[in-house]
Amino acid sequence: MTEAISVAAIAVVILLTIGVGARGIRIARTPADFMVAAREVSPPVNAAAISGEYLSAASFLGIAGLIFAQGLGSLWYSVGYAAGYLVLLLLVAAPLRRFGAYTIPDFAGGRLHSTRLRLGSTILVMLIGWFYLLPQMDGAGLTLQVILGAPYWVGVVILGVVVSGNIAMGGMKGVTFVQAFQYWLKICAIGIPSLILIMLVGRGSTLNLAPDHSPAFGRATSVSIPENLQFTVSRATRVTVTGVVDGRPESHLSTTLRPGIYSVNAGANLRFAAGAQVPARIGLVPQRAPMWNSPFVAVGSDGAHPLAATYGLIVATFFGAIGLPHILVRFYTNRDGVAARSTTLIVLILLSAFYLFPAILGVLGRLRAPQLYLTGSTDGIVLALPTLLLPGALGSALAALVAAGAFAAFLSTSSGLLVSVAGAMSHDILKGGVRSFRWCALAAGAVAVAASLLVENFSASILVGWAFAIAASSFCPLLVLGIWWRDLTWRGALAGVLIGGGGCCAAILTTMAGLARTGWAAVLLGYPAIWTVPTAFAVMILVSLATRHDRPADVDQILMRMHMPEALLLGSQRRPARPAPDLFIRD
Amino acid sequence: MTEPPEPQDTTPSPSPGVRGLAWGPGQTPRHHSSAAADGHDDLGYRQIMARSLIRAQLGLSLVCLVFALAVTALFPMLCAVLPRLDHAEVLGLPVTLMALGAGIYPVILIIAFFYNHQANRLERKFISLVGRVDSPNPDD
Repeated sequence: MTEAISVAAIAVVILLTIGVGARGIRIARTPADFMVAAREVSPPVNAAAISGEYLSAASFLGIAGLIFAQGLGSLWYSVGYAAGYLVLLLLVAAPLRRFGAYTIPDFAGGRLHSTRLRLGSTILVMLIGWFYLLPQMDGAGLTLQVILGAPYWVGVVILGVVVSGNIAMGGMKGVTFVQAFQYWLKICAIGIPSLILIMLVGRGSTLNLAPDHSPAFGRATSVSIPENLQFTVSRATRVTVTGVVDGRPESHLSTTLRPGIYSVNAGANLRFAAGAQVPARIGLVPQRAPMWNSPFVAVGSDGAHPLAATYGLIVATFFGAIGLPHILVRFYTNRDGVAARSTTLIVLILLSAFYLFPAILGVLGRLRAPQLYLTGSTDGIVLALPTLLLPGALGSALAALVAAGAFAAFLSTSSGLLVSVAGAMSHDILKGGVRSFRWCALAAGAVAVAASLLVENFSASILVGWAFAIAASSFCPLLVLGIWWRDLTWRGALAGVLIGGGGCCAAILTTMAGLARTGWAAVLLGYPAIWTVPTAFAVMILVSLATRHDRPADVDQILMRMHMPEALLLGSQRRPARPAPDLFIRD
Repeated sequence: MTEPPEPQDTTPSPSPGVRGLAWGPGQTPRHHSSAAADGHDDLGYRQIMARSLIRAQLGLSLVCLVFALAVTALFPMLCAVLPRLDHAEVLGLPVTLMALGAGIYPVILIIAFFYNHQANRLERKFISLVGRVDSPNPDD
């Protein structure tokens, strides 16, 4: 029942996206059409479109799951994702609109006149884009796994085929309306279930929120095990077992689980009394982490230096949004610099409203569905909660709504990212036209699908946090210094991007390979922004000062263009707008 | 690339997609005949004024940024110094949940509103200043 409704809801979202995208092909055929249409986009619609593209699997599934599994410190992810737009508003929104670049390589090339810097930025755009695509694909795989019990790769492949096929055919490009619609779908899909659940099951004991209290069952609970898994018990716990535990088949066996590690097979049933401690699934709950309601993020396997890790996450998310490859193009659809500021302000309001709900769901999970500590997966909490808390038709309907919202999140973000990645590949590397753009979309989608099959075990929020860290340590200093500092040179910018972005990538790959699990190494390599961002800024500034003679001759003119109000531009001198890059050409 | 010919409108207005900067070095606003005669000296003070606007905007941005960072970075620091803080409750819920789950967003929004208001005000002030300097007797 639940499965059927959820699949129908997901299908509707996919078809709507393809359908509206296909209409977009007919409406906008030339760059000029795109520009003209874009100018008519008002800040509220534009802001909804930006938010729609921005709210990804990490926001929709990841944050609530991390709050549930690792604790309240994970709220820093949502705070940082929102605050990233504040930093963007303060430092780059209006000047970037006035500069008129569509992409970061465009900005790099136009501001510093260097083909090498442009190429370097292009490669980094592809890297960040792919990294950000992973959790979207990952989320799709997981969603179908939770809802249908389908193998992980099914959802990954479906999302990959739909998104890259749709983009290769020409949909989703510059179609502001689809993205705006998807914001409202997403906030309804997470807001309505949150509010209904809090009204219907929110009242009751808040014991599981107490400090120093490991989660316990609020009432006698029977837990069905969905798949083979291992769990730890830290205090002797009474349980009635039916099914295979530690290789021994049992039937209605009343026993006491002593502290230790147990394995249990799919289909088993464990019945716990009220007040019994919830066993923790291995891999879901960090073994040694700060207390659940500590304000620090969990790090490594020993939880050392949580304050430094928290600051690493703050730096990455606050300064990362500026450098995300799919965000910049949306700023060009603002009328002028002032409208770009208003749009960003509305984006902040929309994001703040959205981010209230993952917190509600994460906390509600701990209070009312602690059995998910035994059976759940980090990113699956949001999907599992409605049917677990509200058996029956209402629960099924809410589950379908959540699944549809989740798919909207994967679709909108991965479409935006894939357009950026394929555009960078075809426009800046292959120098090709629309045909090459189409092939690049398919190729980039295939790479993302293949890579996602390797990262099944990482939380969406953590993967996206890493994409933010790379952006913060490379493109953020490039854009901020490029906009505000006359003395930036292309050599300085390139050195900063290479050292900051490269150092950050190396740190993350080391962490992903599992080479740094404890102590300072886990903190500095798992949350690298705390040192890579200052390093990137320092390298850019020092190398630029050393190569002052390279400063572009037209730097004053460019700075003025970025900072002068449009009212001081002369209407009679209107020149045709610069041609849009090939990715917006549709024939 | 062919745009419809624009009416030769001489009123400066926010015009999207315009890339040519009329008000800048080497170019003088056409609608002020007096400005064309000002010659080289003119460029000097324009440059100085433009830089002063950029500096003022940067100052505003940095003040807002430092304030936002101070507010957010202070909370984990406080919790590290006063470990009992995460045992505190607001309305029966952990203080971390209330602060990071809800309380911080109004702060972010207030900073953003303040910044927007001030940045737009700076630009309006600058436009009127330029207008006064360029044409003491506005003719349009």
